[in-house]
Parts: sequence; structure tokens; C-alpha cells
Amino acid sequence: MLHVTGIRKRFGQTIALDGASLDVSPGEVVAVVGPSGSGKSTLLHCAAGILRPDGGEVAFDGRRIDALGEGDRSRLRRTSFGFVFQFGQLVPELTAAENIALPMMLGGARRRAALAEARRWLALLDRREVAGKRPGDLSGGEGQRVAVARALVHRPRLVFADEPTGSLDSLSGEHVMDILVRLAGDDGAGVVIVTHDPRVAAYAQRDVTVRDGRVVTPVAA
Amino acid sequence: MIGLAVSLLVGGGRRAAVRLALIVGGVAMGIVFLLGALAIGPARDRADARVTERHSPAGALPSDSRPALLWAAFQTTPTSVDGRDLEVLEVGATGPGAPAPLGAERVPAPGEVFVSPALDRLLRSDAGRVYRLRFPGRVDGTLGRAVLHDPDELVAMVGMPSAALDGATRITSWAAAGRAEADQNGGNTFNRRLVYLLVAVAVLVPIAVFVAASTRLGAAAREQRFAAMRLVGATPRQVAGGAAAEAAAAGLAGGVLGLVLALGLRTRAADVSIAGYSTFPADLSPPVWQVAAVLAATPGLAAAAALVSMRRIAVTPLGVRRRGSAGRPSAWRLIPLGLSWAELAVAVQLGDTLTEDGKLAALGVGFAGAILGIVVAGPWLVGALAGAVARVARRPGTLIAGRRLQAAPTTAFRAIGGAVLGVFAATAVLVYLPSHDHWSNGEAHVPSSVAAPVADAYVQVFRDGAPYARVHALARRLARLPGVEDVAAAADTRQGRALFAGCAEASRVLRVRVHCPARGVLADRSLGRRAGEPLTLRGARTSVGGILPTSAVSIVVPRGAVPAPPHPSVFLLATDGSLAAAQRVRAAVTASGLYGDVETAADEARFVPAPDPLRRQAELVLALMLSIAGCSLVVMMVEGVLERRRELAILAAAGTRPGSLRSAAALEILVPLGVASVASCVVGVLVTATLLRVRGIGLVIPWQALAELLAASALVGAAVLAIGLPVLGRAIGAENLRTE
Ligand SMILES: Nc1ncnc2c1ncn2[C@@H]1O[C@H](COP(=O)(O)OP(=O)(O)OP(=O)(O)O)[C@@H](O)[C@H]1O
Ligand SMILES: [Mg+2]
Repeated sequence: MLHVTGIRKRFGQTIALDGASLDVSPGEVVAVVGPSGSGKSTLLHCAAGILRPDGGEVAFDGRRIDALGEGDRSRLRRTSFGFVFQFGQLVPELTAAENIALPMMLGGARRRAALAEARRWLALLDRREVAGKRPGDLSGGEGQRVAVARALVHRPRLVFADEPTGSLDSLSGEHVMDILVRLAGDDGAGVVIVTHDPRVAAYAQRDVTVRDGRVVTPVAA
Repeated sequence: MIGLAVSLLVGGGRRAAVRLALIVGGVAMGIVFLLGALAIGPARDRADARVTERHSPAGALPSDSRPALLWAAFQTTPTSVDGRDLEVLEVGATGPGAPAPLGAERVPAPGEVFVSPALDRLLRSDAGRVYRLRFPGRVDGTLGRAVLHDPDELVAMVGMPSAALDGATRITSWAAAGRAEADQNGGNTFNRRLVYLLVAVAVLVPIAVFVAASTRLGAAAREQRFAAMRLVGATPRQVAGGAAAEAAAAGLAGGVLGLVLALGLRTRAADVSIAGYSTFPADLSPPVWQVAAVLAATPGLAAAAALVSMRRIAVTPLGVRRRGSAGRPSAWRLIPLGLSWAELAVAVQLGDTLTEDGKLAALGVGFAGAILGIVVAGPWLVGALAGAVARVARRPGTLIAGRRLQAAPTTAFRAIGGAVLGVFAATAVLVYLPSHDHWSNGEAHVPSSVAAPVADAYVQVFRDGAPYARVHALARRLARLPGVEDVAAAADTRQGRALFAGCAEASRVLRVRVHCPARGVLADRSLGRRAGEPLTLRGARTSVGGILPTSAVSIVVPRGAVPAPPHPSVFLLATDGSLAAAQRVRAAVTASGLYGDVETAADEARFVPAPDPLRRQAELVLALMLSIAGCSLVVMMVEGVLERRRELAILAAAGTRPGSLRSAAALEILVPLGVASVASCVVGVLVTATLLRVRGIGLVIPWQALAELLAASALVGAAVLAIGLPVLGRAIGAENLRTE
């Protein structure tokens, strides 16, 4: 479904990616691991069409997305991808339910329908009571669960997560990984997780190790 | 501690530098306004004192027989040049050794003319050359500040032989003159200064908001630095002291910069008409102790403000915590507005049972209450509206903007507070002025154009004891002037102005065909007489022989119908209509040594009514407050975007259209600005309407002016977006996704 082949990316003098490749099939959970500064986040950003690589190819469903314009990539991210970051992704002034409803409203859904769907997702997370709370009033784990719901609510084909449990204790981290992998799996969505944490990597069906901007593990499991 | 403050000042990187520059700039701006307000009062007093002295200098005692300057300021002679007022001073010396006139180095000799710089420029310009005809003498001197109200004033000092200055004031020394007048307008001066100070304080409010907004720039990073310092062992006192020292330094720098700017602006005072007219730089000098007090108080106030704001946060080695969260503003905030309204309503009810002073007090309390009410109620209004917007929002941008405003309505309103007060004050002035004009015009039943077209020119002389020969000489002189075709004598009678002239002559002078009746006089319709009715004119009995086809004069007396007065006091002239002929007529009247009143169609056509100074000043204050509010909004918008750049970048990464983010940011500015502008405009109209009711004046709503007012505030919003949105564009780049 996603084929990243030999991409290169540099920031000024720094070479962040030097011919990295990655493949993800539907329903597959892939962990991207490696030392700090090795280029994991950059790989994820390029694969998701947030950054445009300097060289190499990124294809999604057989379509070259590195060649698309900013507007088209933006629409692709909005409709086909979901994102979970370490922190700071929830709009602090919106309630948890409104935060979850946001991607659907961005996709043109009616406000009422979007909010109803958001509440259904909170029920799935077993956190119905946080619907009216603002992110500042949520615990870290609750916030990340809401973030996972927000990443999945519009039924993306592929979910990108960059250190989704980075600021959580191990128990909350496991809860978050649990629901991310389970709910993505229910929909048959692929998942790419960037992480330092071997316990998180254990949720993946396969690992990809990045070192100095290259993928060093064979792509096959 | 100083070292700590310095490290705080320089240690914050680019945003801290921008923040400091904005604070210093804001303080400087405030200082400029404050110094300006302190300077305007004394400047106007000085200018007015010079005019008082010019019009009525103290004369020498009759026993003082030293050589004297003869000084005649015909202050009541309305005369004009190029559509503007011109003042002519006639001076002469009774002998050598007479004191020099005010503003000149010597007494102009008969036939010499000294002119003010503005008049000099006019006379030298191509368009103004024609006015040289007014000064047949040599123009060879420039008048100085001592005799002028302001640099743009048109004044001519004409040298005359002493024999022609019978009624003039004898001056043997200027030293004692004018002193007695000084404290007569003490009360007036005090009121005026109070008004200027109030206006300055009103302008200071938005400036203070701007400074406060600037201190929020990069506040998070700065507070992080405070926490880091606590971590390495600084005591809370040291951190607070450092912050206070930093603020005091910024206040001092702003004060000095403000003083420099004010001094720089002062040299341009002739171009920047801060008092509603241009000013001599030398007039703009507030008392030194006031300047010193302002400059000394600024660092202290800045330090105190910093300490107060430090009390709102708790800096611990582990981070910064905000003390207490600002509660949502409640509807109780409408009470002051309601109370002031009720007070005004009661005043309306009481109406004329109140004394004039009572009315004034009621209005003052109501007006001040309304301003306070707007300030108190504003956050609630913004919050309530934002909540409503968020509840019904269909688009994500609107939802985000609504929720953000709802979360911090006080902050949002603070930024626009200045604009709101400006709109309110300007609305009040814009509504009051036309209503008052309409009322006073209606009262006096004066048609809008008072000056009915009178021939090409008319001259009225007031002999005031001068020999009749001068009047006759003037008449002969007028008739010989180039461009003058006819001079007809007239007299003001109990029946109105009567023109004594043959019909051919009357036709030429009045520019209508006048048919003479067989017997009797022609009367204007407004006299209410029908043809054939008897009429007594100048003691003689005659009758109305016909009706005049013009109302330029009341009566035309054909030759022989009634004896003409031996010494006419009014002349009606037919000229070639040129501006030059008009100037020659005026010059002849001035040269006649008679106090005269001249009106010419050619000059009249050039008359430009001076703009109402109150309106101009209101517009000025509004423009100021709007632009300062605009600056605050820019700072707040930029800070709001920078503060949330990771959040915004994540939204963009997740595929949110940049347009949605832009509309959210734009709405956060436009909703409070729009709502508050419209609301304060409405409150302004209502309060002014009440005020007018109390005074018994009908309301005239100047729709167009109000629309322009709101358009101006919309323009400010647009300008803010034009500056702020590009910052948003930069803030949503992928590099902001990185954790720091
Ligand atoms: N926007 C940017 N500008 C400049 N350099 C960048 C930028 N983004 C990444 N880099 C550099 O590229 C390299 C790879 O960065 P990247 O964030 O991909 O590493 P990472 O593997 O995600 O590290 P970590 O585990 O610490 O998150 C680093 O040397 C980083 O400094
Ligand atoms: Mg990373």
C-alpha cells in the first residue's frame, strides 16, 4: 500500500535521510526504531507527505505522492492518513469530543453528526465522561487516547505515530498502544510507529531500524 | 541583581529582543502623548495671550509724553485673503525712539508693510500674487512669533502716518502691557487643561494595553528561564527583583526615547497641528518639573507593574504555575452600563426641573459611567458572543476561533479596548455636532446661506468720528479703481438697505433689470408692501411704485423720489468680477483710514469654511486609538500564533487546509473588533441621544459618518490580518513539529 524507496533528505548541511526505504501493507503494524537523531521522524514525515524528499520515491496506492502539490498532499493526509504525536496535538480550547470531531468537520461532515461519532469513539475508549473536558483537564494517558481517537475517527487507511507514548508511564503507554493497534486493526488500517521503547515496538509485526539516515534491517520480517 | 537583570535582558534570543523593543517603543509612544498633552495647554495659553495683547495692549498713561508707538488692531474688521481670515495691524510712530511693535524690529514707515511668514508665502505664490494689490506699500519685513497666534496665521502690519491713527493705542513700553489679562481666563484655562489631560489619559489606556500585550511576547520562554534560575539557586526575591530591574530599565529606555521623539516632533510642530492648528515649537514647552516627573515616574511604574504581574505566577525550580484561573466573565458585568443608562434616563425624566449645573453633573456622571460600563461589559459581550458562535459553528475554523475567544474573552477584549473607547467617543462627537448644528440653525431661523448675493462688492464704512471728507474721498477713489465699473450709494434705513440710484445704474450694480416706476420707490417682496401702498423713508413720505426682482437690497430709490443722504455709509459696486478688482476695493478701504466692512463676490467664492476643530480633534484621537489598538492586536495575534505553533503545525500536518487555520486566526481578531465596534457605536448613539434629550436638542444621526467610522475600524482589522497572517503561514511549517 505504501512504498518508500531510497529517499534522501537534507537540512542545510545535515543529511537526515540517505536512501531510506520502507513498505507497509494494509493492516500491518510497523515499528521504526533507532538511535536519536538517526532520521526516524524525518522518514515518517516524508512517508506521510508532510515533507517532500530531495530524492527517491514515495508511492501510496501506486500514486507518487512526493510529486503531488501541497494542496493535494494536504487532502491526502486529511482523508487517508491519521496522525498521533507525542504531545501538543489537541487544540486546548476545544473539548475532547470537539477535538475528535475536528477531522470529520474538516472533511465536511455536519457538526452534529461529527460530535455524535466522536462520542461513540469515546465510548469505545471507555472514556465517555471526558467528552466535555478540555485537554488541560485530561491526564496524559487520557489525552493520548483522545489523540488516537482523533487519528482514527475518519477511518484513515494508514496511521502515523511519532513517539505516541513518549511522555506516558508504561501502564498508560500500554493502554494507548492497545487501543491504537486494536482499533486500527478493526478497520484494516496500516500503522507506522516511531519509537524508542522496545515494549512499544513489541506491538508491531515487524521492526525497521534506522541508522544514519538508512534502514539497516532487511525489509522482510 | 543588576547582573541578573542584564542576563535576563540579553539571554532571551530574538523574541525577547523584539519584546523589549516593543515595550520600549510603547512606553516611548506613551511618553510622547503625555508630554504632548502637557504641552498643548500652555502652548494654547501662550498663543491666546499674544492675541489678547495684540488686540488690546495696555496703553501709556496720558501723562507719559515719551515718543509712542501708535497701535491700531482692528480686530472686529472681518477681512479675508484667499478665503482665510486676515488681520491687519496699523502702526505708526509719534517720533524717533518709539518702541518697536510686537514681532517686528522697527516701526514700519508709512507705506511699508510687514507680513507674517504664511502671508509672505501666499503673496509670493503664483495664485496669491493678486493679493499684493491689497498692500500697495512695499512688503519688506517679516513678523515674528511675538505678534502671531500660530505660524499659519495671516497678519499684515501696515505702517501709517501718525496723523491717520487718531483712535490708536499709544504705547511707550511693552513691558507692562498684557499682564492684566493673563489670569482673567484662569478658570477657562483650567478646564481646557483638564480636557487635554483626560484625552491624554484616554489615549494612554490603549498604549498601556499595548505595552502589556508586548510583555506577553515570549513570556513562556522567559518564565522558563526564571524557573531555571530558581533551579540553580536564585531566591524568589532575586527573580522578582531581576524582573523588576528589567522592567525599570525598559521603562527608562522608553522614557528617554519618548523624550527624544517628543523633542524631534516639536521641531516639526508647525506641520503637525496637534492643537487643531500649527504651533510654534517654542510654544510647546511644558513646565520642566512636569517633564521631569513623567520621566522619573516611568521606570518606577514599569517596575511596579512587573512585580504585580510576577505575583500572578508562581515560579518554582520545577516550572511556572499560574495562580488562580480567570473565571468566565458573567452577565453581572452589564450592571454598570445599565446603571449609567438608568441615571441618564432619570435625568431625561427630570428634564427641566434640574438646574443647569445639575444637568451637567448628571450628564458627566452618565457619560463617564457609560465609558466604564463599556469597559466592564466588553469581556462578557465578547465571551457570550464567542460562545454562541462556537455552539453553532459549522466550520472547524469558526469553532476553534469561538472556543479560543470564549476561553479568554478578557484578553481578547483588552486588545480592542482602545479601539472601542475611540469609537464610542467619536460616535458621541459625530452625533452631537450635526444635532447641535441642526438645532441651533432651526432656532435662529437663519437660512443656510446667510450672505445673499450682493452685487459684486459692497463697502460699509463706520465713520466713528472721522471727517466726512474721508468718506467722500473713498467714494471717489473706489470709482476710479481699475476693474470697478460703477459705485452706487446706499443707506441703511429702518426699512432696510436702500439704494439711491437711477434705474440704469441700479440694474448694473444689482445685476438684474430694474424698471423704474413712474413715481415712488421699488420695494423688495420681503418688505410685505403691495404696489401703491404708502411708505415713509428717511422721514420723507413716498409710496411703493413697484416690486424689486431681487432681495440684495430692500429698496431702490430712483433719483428724486426721496432725497439721497448727503453722506452715504454704504456703497454697492459693479466690477469686472475679478479677484484683482476685489483686492483693490479692499486696499482702498484700508487706505482710507476708515473702519470698514467689505464683502466681495470674488472673495466670497473662495471662502472655505474651517473644519470644526472639535470634530477634527475627535477624528485625530480616534485615528490614534484605532492605530494603537491595531498594534496591540498585531502583537497579540503574532504571540497567539507563535505560542501555538506546534499545535498549528500538527493540524497542518494532519491535512487541515491552511485556509481553515487562517480563518480561525482571522475570526479571533475580527469577531471581537467587529462586535465591540458596533456595540460601542450603538451605545455611543444611545448615550448621546439621551444627552441631547436632556438639553432639549433633537437627534440627527449622521449615518454616513458612522458608517465611515465603522469602516475605519474594519480597516484596522484588515491591516492587522495583513501583518499577522503571513506569520501564521510561517508558523505551520513542518519544522515546528520537532520537539524542542
Ligand atoms: N527542520 C530541520 N532543520 C534542520 N535539521 C533538522 C530538521 N529536522 C531534522 N533535522 C536533523 O535531521 C537529523 C534527523 O532528525 P530526526 O528528527 O529525523 O531524528 P530522530 O531519529 O527522529 O531523532 P529522535 O529520536 O531524537 O526524535 C537530525 O540530525 C536533526 O538535527
Ligand atoms: Mg524524532
